[in-house]
Amino acid sequence: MAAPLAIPLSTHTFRRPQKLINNNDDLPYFLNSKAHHLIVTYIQHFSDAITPTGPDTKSTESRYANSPSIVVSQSVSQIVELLATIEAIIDEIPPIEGPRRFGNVAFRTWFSTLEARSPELLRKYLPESIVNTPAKGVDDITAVDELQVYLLGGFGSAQRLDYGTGHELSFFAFLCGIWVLGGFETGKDELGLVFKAFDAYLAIIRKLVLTYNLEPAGSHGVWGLDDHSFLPYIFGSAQLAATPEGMGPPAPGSIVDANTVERERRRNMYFGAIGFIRDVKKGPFWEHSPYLYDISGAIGGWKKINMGMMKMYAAEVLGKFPVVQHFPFGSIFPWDLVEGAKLPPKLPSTIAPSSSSSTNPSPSVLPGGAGGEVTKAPWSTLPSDSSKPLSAIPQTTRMRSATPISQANLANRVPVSALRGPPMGMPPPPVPSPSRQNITINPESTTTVAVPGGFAPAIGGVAVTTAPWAKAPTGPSGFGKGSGGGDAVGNPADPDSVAGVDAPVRRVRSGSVTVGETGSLAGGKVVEYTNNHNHNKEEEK
Amino acid sequence: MSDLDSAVEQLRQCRPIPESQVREICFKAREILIEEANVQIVDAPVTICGDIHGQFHDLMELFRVGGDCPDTNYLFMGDFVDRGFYSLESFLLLLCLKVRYPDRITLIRGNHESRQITTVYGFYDECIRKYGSANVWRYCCDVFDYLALGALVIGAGSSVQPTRLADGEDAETKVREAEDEVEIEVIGLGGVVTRQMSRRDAGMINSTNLTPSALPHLSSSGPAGALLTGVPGTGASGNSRGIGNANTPTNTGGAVLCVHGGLSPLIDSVDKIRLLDRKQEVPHDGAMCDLLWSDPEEIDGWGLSPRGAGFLFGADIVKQFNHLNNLTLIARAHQLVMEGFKEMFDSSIVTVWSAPNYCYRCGNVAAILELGEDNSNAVLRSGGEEVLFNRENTRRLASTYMGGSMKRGGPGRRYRVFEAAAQDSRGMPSKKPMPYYFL
Repeated sequence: MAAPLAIPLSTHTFRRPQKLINNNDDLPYFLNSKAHHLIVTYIQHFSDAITPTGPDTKSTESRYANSPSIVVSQSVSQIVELLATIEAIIDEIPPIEGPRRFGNVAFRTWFSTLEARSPELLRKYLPESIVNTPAKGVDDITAVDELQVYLLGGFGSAQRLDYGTGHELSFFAFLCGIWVLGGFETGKDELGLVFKAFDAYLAIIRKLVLTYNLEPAGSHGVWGLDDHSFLPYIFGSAQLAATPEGMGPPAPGSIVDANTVERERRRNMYFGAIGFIRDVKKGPFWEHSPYLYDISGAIGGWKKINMGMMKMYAAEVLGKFPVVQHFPFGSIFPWDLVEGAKLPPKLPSTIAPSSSSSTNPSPSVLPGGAGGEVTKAPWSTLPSDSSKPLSAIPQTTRMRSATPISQANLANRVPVSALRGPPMGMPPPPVPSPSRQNITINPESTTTVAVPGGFAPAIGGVAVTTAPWAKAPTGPSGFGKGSGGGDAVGNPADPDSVAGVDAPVRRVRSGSVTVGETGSLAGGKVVEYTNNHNHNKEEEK
Repeated sequence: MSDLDSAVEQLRQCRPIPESQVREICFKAREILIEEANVQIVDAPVTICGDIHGQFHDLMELFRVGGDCPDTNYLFMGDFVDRGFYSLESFLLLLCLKVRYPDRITLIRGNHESRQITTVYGFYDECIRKYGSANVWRYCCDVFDYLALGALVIGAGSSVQPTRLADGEDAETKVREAEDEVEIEVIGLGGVVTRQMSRRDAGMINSTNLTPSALPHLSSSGPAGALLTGVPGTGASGNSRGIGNANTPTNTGGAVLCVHGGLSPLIDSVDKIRLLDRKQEVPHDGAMCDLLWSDPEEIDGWGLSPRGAGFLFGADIVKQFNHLNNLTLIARAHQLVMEGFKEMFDSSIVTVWSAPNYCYRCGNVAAILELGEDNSNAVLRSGGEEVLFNRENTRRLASTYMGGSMKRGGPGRRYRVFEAAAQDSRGMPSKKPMPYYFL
């Protein structure tokens, strides 16, 4: 697959990227958007490029990450330097000593330092043709401005002190963005970009995770592929995908062998990721990483694994609202449908005016997104401030809310998880209780980043759970200005204010499970199985 | 009951039980749970536990450190499932124990005991993997709907009962004199008392020094069971522990509210929790949702939760709630704490976390909280609910305590800290059928 055509710099108008996936209903649109198409195309392109050309050992070795034959062009080495500079910031900002709940708040200093320096760094290290492109249009946005959003989105959430695949996606988009703007050369830079630049990025992430104890954003614990990463599994399996089973390079099953992992982790990205898991996790591999363990038994070897990883990425990362909701759209990754796309009947309501909405009060730079092993509500669309697109992007796998069936039907091309088909008839998000409007919310709590005593806010913990159903909160303005203090409950005496008392019982009818089958990375058909196990729950006394 | 006992036995060995048996046990459990109140009244002594998250072997370690059920009374504050590899075995074991010893173990609901959350965070996947169908997941979810939303521990003593050491020596010799009651005791790894605070000292406790930071994290946990000559959690020594003299009444007449997450802006009294219709999937918002999702935070008043559900609440909220409801402490779980427990807001609320080395990688220790019984406070124990929750009476009591000379007085609290269970001897299983994408 060839890389998509470049954007002509001279005539192009850049836009400040903004978050446009506001709820599950917007997913089908995203999955048919040019942005989605671009991301998928590039992943496939890189994966193909780093797959050995022949089944022989020599060919395989040419795709080792540390192979001397890899060409590193000027543009790529600039990116590698950029990343080295970013990595060096970690040494400047040591973690804060002392008691803490989990994540280290020094990460917030690290992040704000990166944020402050990034315009300068980008001007220094991005290809000149991109840097020198003048801004056009009313917004006065340059190419560098637009790319910066994706770069910053790639380094976790300063608010939640976590990192996940949504952030990884953002950094990948940063690299793709440069490519789209003509910064790299097709047929020449692929290997260097993946094995040098992207690998350097992964090294930074691992260092960040270890240094500041970043949580896996939206972790599923043992029931996810990996706490933090996904792309190394695609690229790493591609590195070995031309090798027939039983020949030369390590068999998939050898991921449980410590010696093999140590030998391969420097030159293969799959083993690199496995190696990191082994570094940070204690306990039997099959127990803390059952999916990777099962996958290592794939019949068909690395090629099969590579294809499976692609499908899984499409469904579990790009197809999951909690993960992609913070991905911002601008001129490089446009929120436009690809030609000939079959549109879901309902257009998303969210093609909003670009500048910040007045209902969004948060003045702070809280990178939005969901986090970690802290459980977040899978329905949560939490804090993102559209006036600050920088903060909008980082999205980690929060609660992956499985795509509700209703949407799956709407969008006949939604890749739906086969692993976790949601039970049919998940309760619809309840109508927010009107009495909530009376609650006084302390605005500080949503805007303050600094936490005295290093006690991280709720979300900084490992494995925080987020709510899958949460609507994007409108913030304090929706609740009235906070006066703090104890008279916080609006109408405590009013029986109506006890929300939930009269809420209808939402009974979940378990029975139907949708199993998605993604034929290709770009999407696939959906197979829906409906078992009529209508569960009669009327057993109350 | 032999079926039940054999199921317990099988689950203790971490082996799943047949689907038909799961169904039967879930049905029986529901019959018991449906009779329980939204806020279940529990008598001290009791051992309060936080999140488990399917860490079965660590749950076994918890029982080893805290004493077996039913010898020790337990109160689990939810989040039995998700993320860990053995949610099924962990939850079913606790459920079997509930059915077997309904008065000895109390299970309340966590935010993960929900259909929607379990489909996202792993329990659903686990059931599919272990049974090949979602039936067992469905049975369990039906039980979730009936779990209590909270519990109120009454009759807790104001001081910690002496720890008994392995050789029978009474640790009280190391403890201060009787009138200088031990309010907080921390038993660290290896069963060593790492910290004791008298009620007098405790006034100076703040949130930074209240975590057992001096714990020897890296020391081997050793056979902690060795110190369990007396059954922890039952703690009854027969000694009557007074509540101090009349001039400085300690507020030990109050109860301890246990709830998974925290408070709700829609709930200003324990009575309001009682009014909820809990027998449903956890709603996306509202009081029931908040109780399971909220977190305490160093703020004033209420704040939006970054979780997307529930709220953040500050010290003022907790203190006012405790005051109005005659509570001495709120015990909650829901957040990982590196040291296993963390008291906040002048010890008005504590987070208890019982999943060591969470997700195989967090490096945290776990803790359980033991509340002993107070033999001096028979009135409240027998009067129980009515005495405590007659609103007028509550106000009267509260105003008495607000006379100015009131000394802050939580119940005596013993925290037992423990590490993850050893994991070496678990053999490698055969690989399961490939996840769908890889077929």
